[in-house]
Amino acid sequence: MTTNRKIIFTGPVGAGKTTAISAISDIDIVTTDEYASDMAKSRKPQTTVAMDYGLINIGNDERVHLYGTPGQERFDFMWNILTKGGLGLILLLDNTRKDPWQDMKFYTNAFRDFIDTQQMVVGVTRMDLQRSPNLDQYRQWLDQLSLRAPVFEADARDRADVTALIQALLYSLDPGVVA
Amino acid sequence: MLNAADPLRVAFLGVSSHNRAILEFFFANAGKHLFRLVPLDEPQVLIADFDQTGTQQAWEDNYSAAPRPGIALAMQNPNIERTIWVAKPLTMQALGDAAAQVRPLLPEGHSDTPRDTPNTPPDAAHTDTTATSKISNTVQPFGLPAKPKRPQQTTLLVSTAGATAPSPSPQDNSPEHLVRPRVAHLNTKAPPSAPLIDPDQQEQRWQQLCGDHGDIEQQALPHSPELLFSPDNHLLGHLQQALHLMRQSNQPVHIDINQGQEQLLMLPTTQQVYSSLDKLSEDFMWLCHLPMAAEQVQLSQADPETLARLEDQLKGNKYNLEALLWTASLLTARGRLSRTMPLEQSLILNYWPNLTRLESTPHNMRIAAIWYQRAGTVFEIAAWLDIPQRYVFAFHTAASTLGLLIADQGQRPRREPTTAPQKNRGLFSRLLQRLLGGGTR
Repeated sequence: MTTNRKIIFTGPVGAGKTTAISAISDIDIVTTDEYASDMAKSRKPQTTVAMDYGLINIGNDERVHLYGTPGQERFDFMWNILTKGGLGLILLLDNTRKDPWQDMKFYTNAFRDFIDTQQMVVGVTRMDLQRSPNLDQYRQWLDQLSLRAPVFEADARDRADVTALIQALLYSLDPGVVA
Repeated sequence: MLNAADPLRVAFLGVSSHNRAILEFFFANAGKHLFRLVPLDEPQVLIADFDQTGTQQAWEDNYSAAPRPGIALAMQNPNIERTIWVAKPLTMQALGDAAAQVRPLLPEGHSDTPRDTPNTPPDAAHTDTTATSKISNTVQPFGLPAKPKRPQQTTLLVSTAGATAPSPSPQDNSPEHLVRPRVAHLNTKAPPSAPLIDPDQQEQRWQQLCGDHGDIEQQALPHSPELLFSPDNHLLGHLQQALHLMRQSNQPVHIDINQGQEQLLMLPTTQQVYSSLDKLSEDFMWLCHLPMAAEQVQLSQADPETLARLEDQLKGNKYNLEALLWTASLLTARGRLSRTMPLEQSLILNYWPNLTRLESTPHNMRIAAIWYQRAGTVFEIAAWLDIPQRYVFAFHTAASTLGLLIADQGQRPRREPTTAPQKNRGLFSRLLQRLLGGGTR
């Protein structure tokens, strides 16, 4: 019997969801990028309008599916559907955006039920381009939202960084697990 | 004329610190016969990271001044003339192949192909000398063990027109249900190549960071001076003072060791530190590990003139402040515990360390996860995870230096974690093995 599980990647436009999934997927990811026709195009010319899909084959008919949500808020109707059956959430936040604090509030609120029942890990991208806000501020923001989650600096292009986010997610769900 | 056995003289252009560290490690070990790093005005070949902002412009500027071939590091092929593309994540195989393929792009008389590049396709270097060439379809990044190879497969999963948006459900989230109004293929990626990090070198580094002593009963520890240390007798104590001073004053702090023999500069605004020593060097290891008298170190706030001078003087080794403090703590303690720590004290991890940018030690993710969820002593954490105590001691020292471990005030449960297998534990274990290098593809 085939076993399927999901890990969800979310975050604002341009935070690196598509890139992060691509970095660890065993397949060339299925993307639904299109030329942006709204505010998103100010951050990148193409953006994800439905979702991204990647896959990790574990063997013995086991797969972990990787779903990236569209970053634009008008697609939030899809988010509840996407999270059903999910193991956990990777929230990617772009440190160069105008207001990362608002981004964090928006996405943690949108996925609050899922986060409360499963787990979340936060990856802050593009810190090499802009150091402020720093990770301490992100940690304090999570405190203000009464959320507890690992927060890491991450380069979505770097497989090791994306792997670390998933490791932290799995160990947070079950510290007793052994690789 | 370049001898076939001579390493290529290379310089970096816009390479991120992460990839720079990987490349330097490669150049110092397996790739030492292939590449030699030289200043930017001396190379035969430039290695440029085209995923970094500004590299494209820097490349064009440099190329117009001195047209040299290059090795282009990038996620996607940047299609730059006279460059060989190496796809990220970087692999030893791809870098070795790139060394062979870039040689024919050198000016006349410099294009001998090295003798020892068995993995280079026989005519690859001669058939694609003008356009960017994809070197390798290997994707195994540095530091991850190899996985079994299997034939590359391509599977056509979807071919629809005018389809609707995908709607995966928990019952059926297979890729067949992902549709888009055009043909989509799920191509399995190529199998990974061999790992770069030598297990012996990794083990040696872990010994430097965590020591190699065995476990000990809690009651016996006070009588085992070899397992205890005093931060104030080492550079670490001075670094902690400097950190305190920097945070209090919000001013850069200059750390002068042995009357200018070694220097560090902590910067509050960027949370970075300049150092006269490479933090991965043996000199830095001994500087941290050996006892240091108080009079050997001078702390002072750096005035603008000193700041400018030191920034220029020490610009070769610039680190994230937490990363340097983390490594310094580990090198100082070597798996020992601070004498100032009450052994019976139950602790909690207030926040996870930024483990993607800190030097890795065995089990650090598991230690962080359990200490973040439950309060416990260092001995309890080691027992709960069933791992050598020295790894927990090392994590304790480093996380304490960063102020991330605090005394338990009843914020978190202090009960022993359940030993019963959790839901999905088997799946998680297999997924971790797969991600970290084991398991089946």
